[in-house]
Order: sequence, then structure tokens, then C-alpha cells
Amino acid sequence: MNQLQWKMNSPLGDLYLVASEKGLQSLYWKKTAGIPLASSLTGKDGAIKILKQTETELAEYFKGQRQDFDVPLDVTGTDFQESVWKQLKKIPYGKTVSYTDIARRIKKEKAVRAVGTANGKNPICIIVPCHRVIAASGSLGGYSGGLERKEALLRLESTYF
Amino acid sequence: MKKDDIFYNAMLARDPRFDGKFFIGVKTTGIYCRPICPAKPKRENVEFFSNHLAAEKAGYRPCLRCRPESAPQSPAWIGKSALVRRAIKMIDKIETLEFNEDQFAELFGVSARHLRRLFIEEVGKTPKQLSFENRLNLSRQLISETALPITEVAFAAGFNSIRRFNDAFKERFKKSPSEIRRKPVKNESTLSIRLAYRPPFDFNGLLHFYRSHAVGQLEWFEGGVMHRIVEVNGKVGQITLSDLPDESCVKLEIDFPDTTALHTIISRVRSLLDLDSDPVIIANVLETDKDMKALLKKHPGIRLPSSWDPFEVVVAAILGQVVSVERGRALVNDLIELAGSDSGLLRDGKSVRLFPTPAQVIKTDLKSLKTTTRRKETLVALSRALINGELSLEPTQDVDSFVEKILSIPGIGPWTASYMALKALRHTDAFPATDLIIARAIAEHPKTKFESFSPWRGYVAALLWREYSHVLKKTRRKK
Repeated sequence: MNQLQWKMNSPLGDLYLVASEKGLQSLYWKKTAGIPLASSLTGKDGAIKILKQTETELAEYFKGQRQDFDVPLDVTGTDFQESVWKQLKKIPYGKTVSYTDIARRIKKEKAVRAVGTANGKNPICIIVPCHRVIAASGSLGGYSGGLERKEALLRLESTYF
Repeated sequence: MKKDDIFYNAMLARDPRFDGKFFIGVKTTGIYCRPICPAKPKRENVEFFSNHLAAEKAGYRPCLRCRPESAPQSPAWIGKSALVRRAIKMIDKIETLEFNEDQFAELFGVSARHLRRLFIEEVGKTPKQLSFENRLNLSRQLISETALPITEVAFAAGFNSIRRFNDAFKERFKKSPSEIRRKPVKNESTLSIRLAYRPPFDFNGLLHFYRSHAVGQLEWFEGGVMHRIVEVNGKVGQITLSDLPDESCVKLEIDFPDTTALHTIISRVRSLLDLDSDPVIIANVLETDKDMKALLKKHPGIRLPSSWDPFEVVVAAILGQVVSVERGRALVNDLIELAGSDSGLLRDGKSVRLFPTPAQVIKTDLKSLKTTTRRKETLVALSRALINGELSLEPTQDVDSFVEKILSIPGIGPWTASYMALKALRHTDAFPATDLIIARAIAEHPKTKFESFSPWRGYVAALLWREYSHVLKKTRRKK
């Protein structure tokens, strides 16, 4: 399978996008080793098109002009992880929920910690909005890209002051 | 048949097994070539040289077609004095781009003036000129094989001024950098270059070894391809290695943020894959024994596996004492997680840590590492000796005195010392006879006189490991 990586300069630092021709596979704040970095986003390659669409949508998001993403995703995880990620997608722009809320929504009230872990394993940040999940106490919780970025994203969506 | 006729026939056949073993000077053009060069000069117009330095000393300049500087280097290049031989090896490996003759001479305990005189006598060039030429050679390889912008090429070759680079390049190759450029310039993140070897080349054997000794998350394998995350001078990147048997070359893809590290990366890869080895010389010695001849026939072109960094080998050797290869690997992985710094790269969404430096090892609390206290103490003592400069892992040092020094560290016995000499120093004559697999293999060949393979006993060890490591595993499982 043809995978490509693309480095996008975002207002919060470099973002690394990885796509196959089927869809976006990951979006991280760090580079993934072993996947070639595209030199430009020109050409008819399927993965390039996905990367280009993702970059455009993300640019709009950072300008505050986009709330939902349309780019197709190509992610696989365990059944549990996928059920958590599905719930993440349902959190509306500008809202935050707690880890407990997610656990309740997948009808596994006691799996709060597992939800936290699955949340942390989310391969596609921003688009699958794991940053909108915060601790029940109201504190930020954790974030793989660093708490400053989590805070900045929530501030962008103006729910956290 | 005269010796020169053998050379001439090898040249006509363009036989890659002779690549780097001799060079052809063409009197009519003043150019020297590799045996594999497509140019076919007449017999009366050529003379032969045993190494590229001799050809240059006689006033020839390198061919633009076959690029003699990209031939495999001579492993047994015989300078008149051991000092010059060691110094030349050192120049090829040197990691910084600034070359200070006084400091360099100090490494060998002689004055710069004395070393210069020896060099002029034997090589026809000073150490500084040689180091300078190595960098120009690298720049030519980068210009003709990659799309790296010429400015970057100049930096990679250690130049700060493009004009000086252009002048020096033209002086050596009689053409300007832009005249040699074939590919359109693109600022691609990955550079791809070819490193020549002399066939046969047991790439699969090397891969098999590195796969079973994979270092933490830093090395991984897909089919016939090896990936490795590398750190040079505080910067992190990635390399990918694959074999191109039809061209007698290894393809090296480099994704690294700093081009000035290319020289270091290339020379480390050359030793990682033992590319400068000469399989014919080794086979000649090993084939004097019937059993070894049969083994070599099964694994032609056996090479000495080592590692990206000698410190990784010595640490793995200590943590691997008495335990299985798998367990040893797991311990190395735990140590990396405990003491290594973040590489800034991800694999499967997880941050990859770099191999710890000796300084990081002594600063880390090793309590949670699941090995004996004794081995932890050995690890710390070794790291400390490396930091203090009491011990070095430099491959050009005298092996006997290295073994003596390392044996004085508590917890290091003859097996570990000899294993380290072989894997870290790449000493071709080290033979860890007490190794579990080697000892068993020796018992399988009662008639073989192993001491007769000197100075290539390291290759015999590699051959025995290649043949017997999985056999031993299988019989163990049966129990």
C-alpha cells in the first residue's frame, strides 16, 4: 500500500499528515519514521489528493472557518478503540466532555481509564477531536501533543478560557 | 600469464569482484578507472595500480564515468608503515569536517610534520589533502546521484563558500559541479545513493543477524529492507538499506535534516554492512578446510555483522550475558526506554527513544532494569571508563590492549571481551570460541583447525553463527 507523509506548518507548530489512497491514516505533532515525505502536493496520486484535501480543511479550521471535516479516514484499531473514536467524532465543535461521559456513551461506565488510553491512541488529532475530552474535574487531562496545544485548540474553538 | 595480463583480462570482463582491488591508468588521457568502467582502452596504453592513491600519485585524475572514488575501499590496503595505514583509515572515518593536522597527528603520538613527511613519501599527499579529496569525492557522488542542490552539496563536503567549492571541484575533476549534474534539482527530503561492494555479498545473512538483534524501536525490517533511526551530532533522521545485487550495490536512502552529517552516515553504513570486505581473500583462506568450504558455498560472501554504533554492541553484549538473544534484546529495549532521550520521531503513533549515551546511562536510576546488580555495575563502570577516556571503542586502536583494558572492568570475561572486539572494533581475527553457538559448532567440525584461519577467524565466527544459530534454537525448543 502506498503511504505518503506531508509536513504542514500550522499556527501551533508542524503537523505531520499520513495518508493512503483510501484516506487519512494519521495526524500527529511528530514525524512518523519509515513513511516517505512528499516533496509537493501536486500530481494525481490518490494519497496526495487526500493530503491536499486534509491540508486545505485544516487551514480553514485554524482560521476558524471550518467546524467539521469531510476528508475520508483510513484508520484501524481494536473494536474498543474504534468505538471510542466514533464517540469522539460526535463531540460538537466548541464543546468539551469528560472521559466519564465517553465511557457512559459506549455503555462501559467503569472503563474510564481504558477510554483515556484509547483516547490517547487516537491516530488523528484535531479531526477526531480528542482534545475536546477533559478530566471530569475540569482540568485539562493529558495530550500527546503537549497540554499547551490542547489548550490552544480549545481556545481556538473558544470554549476554554 | 603476467600479473598485468590478469589485470587487463579482469578489466575487459568488467568483473565486479575486482572492483577497488586495482585501478587502471590510461596514459593517453591521464585518467584512471575502476575495472568495471565501460571504457576499454588498448593494452599498450594502460598501466595498473593497486590502489587509487597510487594512481593519483602517478598524476592521474579520476574518471568521470566509473567514478573510482565510489569503488569499495581496500580492506587490506598495504601502506609501508602501519602508522600511515591506520591514519588513512582514520581519515576515511573522521566525523568532523574541520581537519586540524596537529590534533590529527597527536592521535598517533607523532608530530604533524613527521606524519606529513611519511604521507608524502608513501601516498604523495598530505593527510589534509587526502581528507579534502575524500570530501570532494563525496560531493561528486551527491551531485551525480542525487537531486540535492549544489549549495547543500558544498555544505555536505565541508565547504562554507560556494565559490571555493566550485574552484576546488573544477581543479580535481576538470569539470564544474553543474556540468556533472544529471538530475534536475529538487529539494526532496530523501536522498538515495549507491554504495558499491565486491560480490558475492551475503546481504540476507546480515539482515538476518540485525533482525534478530534489532535495537529497541530504532531498527525495523520489511522484506529485504532494513530501516534505522540514526542520531548524528544531536540531530535525528532515518536511513533505509536494500540490496541491488545486479549492480553490486547497496541502495542507501537517507532522510536527515543536516547534510553535513552525510559523510558520517555513509562511512557508518559502510562498516555496518562490511562493504569494504574482500570475499575472495577470505574465501581463499577459509576454503583450505573442507567443512568450511561447504559452509561458505551455502553462504557465499559472508560479512561481519556489527552495529550502527559500537556503544550499542558493548551494552547489548553485557545485557546479553547468559540470557537468550530474545531476552537480551528485551533488556536493551528496557534500558532505552529508561535512559534514552526522545528522538522526536514516531512509529505506530508511539514516540521512539534513542539509544542512551554513556553519560545518560550513569545518570539513570537502573533499579527497575530486570537484570542482576552485577551487570548494572558493569554497565556503569564501562560507561564511566568511556567518559573518562580510559577506554575507547575506536576501531583503529590496538585490539590486544583494548581486550586487556576491558577485561579489567568487573563483570567482563573473555567471551564478552572477544565478542566486543569482533562486533564493536570489527577485529577480523576475533573468535569467541566459548560462545554457546560457536562452541557447539566447533564440536560439529572436529577435524577443522580453527586457528589456521587467522587473520580471518571473525569471518569464521560469522559463518558459524549464520549456519548454527537457528539450528540451536530448534533443538532447544524440542526439549
